[in-house]
Amino acid sequence: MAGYDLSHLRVLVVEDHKYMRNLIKEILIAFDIRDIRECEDGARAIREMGIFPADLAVVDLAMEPLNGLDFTRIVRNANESQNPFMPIIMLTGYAEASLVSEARDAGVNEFLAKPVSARSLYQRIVSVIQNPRPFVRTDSYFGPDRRRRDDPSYVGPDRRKRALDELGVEEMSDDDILALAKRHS
Amino acid sequence: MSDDQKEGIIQPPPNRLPRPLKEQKDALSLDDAVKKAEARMADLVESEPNWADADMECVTKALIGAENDKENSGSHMAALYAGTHELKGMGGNFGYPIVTDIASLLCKYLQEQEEPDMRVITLHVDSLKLVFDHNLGGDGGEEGRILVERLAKLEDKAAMGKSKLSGESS
Repeated sequence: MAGYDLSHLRVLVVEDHKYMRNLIKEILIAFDIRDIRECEDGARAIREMGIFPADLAVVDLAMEPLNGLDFTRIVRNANESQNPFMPIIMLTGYAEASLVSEARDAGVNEFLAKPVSARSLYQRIVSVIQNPRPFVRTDSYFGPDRRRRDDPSYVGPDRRKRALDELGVEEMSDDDILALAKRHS
Repeated sequence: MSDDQKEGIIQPPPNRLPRPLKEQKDALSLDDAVKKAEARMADLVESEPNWADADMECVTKALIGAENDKENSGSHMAALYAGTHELKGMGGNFGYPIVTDIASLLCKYLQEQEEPDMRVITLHVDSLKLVFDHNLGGDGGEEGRILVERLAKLEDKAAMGKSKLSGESS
């Protein structure tokens, strides 16, 4: 069965809990990823990015002094950011809708709940690297497109399109949505 | 400006990878990668039997603090929540999904109750201690399932009003 060669990926793991950090590292090593840097909090991770050109970051949410959300905002928006387009997978025990939304608004690419599933992490890594979302820049946001995206591998019915057709409403264009975002930012 | 370079949209984002990520016949498949990962996770779990000690100590100390140091109960409760939250996130990965279950119940209770009942919190923390003291790994078996069920029912009762727990009329 075919797979993906992840061995050349450089991954930054940002997690304050020692045992969880070790666990994530073990999973990544099992995926044949060798170039892994670990940081205990977002501030150290920002500094590490200055010397480690990470292709991807796996980031916890709750950390001190800099949590995962603030780390993401700095990566996306700071002038000094080494790679504002870096894919960020947030791995956290928090799964409340408000926090997921806040993470998305900070610019996180993917959100995974703890306890971590090796299968889910593998799938997210492949997804963010092989099929990255386009990035959107508005007055109030820079980061991966937060809208639902087309999945070419999905073969089921397009219920949203059917609902729009039933209402006699046209789907909004990218320009319309960006204009709307600007008005409400 | 072309359709895929509309203002405000950068498609695709720049890629700094030395080579593109493609599906390959000779690469590790998803199933094999997961098997390897689960084996490594199991080895780590076996080599780290004390993974919960620091968080359990934090939770226990915070509970005692919340009960005895009312002036600073806010910070004690925050520490209690933080420690419980860590246990919730780790239990399932370290061979104790029942710890995740109990800690999830407690986290939910602490989030939803403006004035949580200390007796309810104590029962949850004592349940966690019981799990570790008796090495109730996995879902804890029949005893574990009954324990989680009873804690969930207790929370429902507590949510209906403290008076229900004490037997006073509401």
